[in-house]
Amino acid sequence: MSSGSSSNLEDLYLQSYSFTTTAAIIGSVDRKVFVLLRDGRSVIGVLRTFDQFANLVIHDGVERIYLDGSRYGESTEPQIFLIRGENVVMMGELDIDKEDEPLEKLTRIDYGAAFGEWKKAQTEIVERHTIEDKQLRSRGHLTSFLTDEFY
Amino acid sequence: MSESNSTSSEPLDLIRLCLDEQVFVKLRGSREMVGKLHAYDMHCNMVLSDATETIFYTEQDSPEIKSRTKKSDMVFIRGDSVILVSDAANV
Amino acid sequence: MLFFSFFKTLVDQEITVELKNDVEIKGTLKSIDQYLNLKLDNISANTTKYPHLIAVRNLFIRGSNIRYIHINPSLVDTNLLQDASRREAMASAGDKIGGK
Repeated sequence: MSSGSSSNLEDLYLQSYSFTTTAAIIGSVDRKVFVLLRDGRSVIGVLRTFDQFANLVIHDGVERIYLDGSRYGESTEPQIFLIRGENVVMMGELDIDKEDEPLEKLTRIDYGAAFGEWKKAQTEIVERHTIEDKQLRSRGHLTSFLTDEFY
Repeated sequence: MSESNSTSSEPLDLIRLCLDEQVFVKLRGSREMVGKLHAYDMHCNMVLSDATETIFYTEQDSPEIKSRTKKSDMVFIRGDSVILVSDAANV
Repeated sequence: MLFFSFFKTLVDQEITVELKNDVEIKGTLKSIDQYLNLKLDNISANTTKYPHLIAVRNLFIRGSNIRYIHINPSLVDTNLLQDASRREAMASAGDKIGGK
């Protein structure tokens, strides 16, 4: 029932803001979402508010880092996040019945350890890309690699 | 003033002359794309059809530059990746 | 605004978005805005990198991370698109002459 009434509200908003950022995200307010950041981390929590730049406020949020497809680390203390829009890659509404499914196949490790490993992996990626960048540049190709993007 | 409308006086006018023609687009991310141009705007966003993308890359510990290609029947290219646009016949 | 209008005509159609990190996400286009931010429903993607994409109902993608959008050619009227493109070029040239 409650989802029915909230989707009516959505319809109302959608009619007045047909093709705006607002129309796209308004339906996710007060729902559990994941936000993928440009540095590769995900924030998982409840979307409370946002603006046209996709600046987001996430309530009860935790940070999650996936490592090499078999392990992940997640911060334990829920926090409020104000995420600057330019750092947002994408945001998705989570189906709370399914959200734990992908984690069942993964091993959870300590967040601090995951963070350290992830930082180390980034350094290696930067080194590898610096070499590739040089080689490609000498042949007139420009890579789009940025040292703050690891998503 | 009025004749500046009909002559190629601005950089983007060169792209206009390529509409419905094969174009070569050089892109960030060590990529190139060849296809028929159907639309563009002031940000160099573009739509190409029958496009062939060439991606250049190197493998670890080898200076050799390799490439692979990908095809797309209809593709929108976001302008912020575009380095240069040219008539494909000139390349 | 040409591409904003163009993508509005593709709402409810299936598209494939390629991000600048090479990840491809297929889905039904539900919404587009002037910055070309997208909202997709019924998404499918390679989920090894982002396992939680399996549990996602809808996805908002910030336009700045997009490299390409692949479209089914049968959905595009290329003549219309070329005419619109020429008109937009004329209009922006007119703006400059008019001192805007």
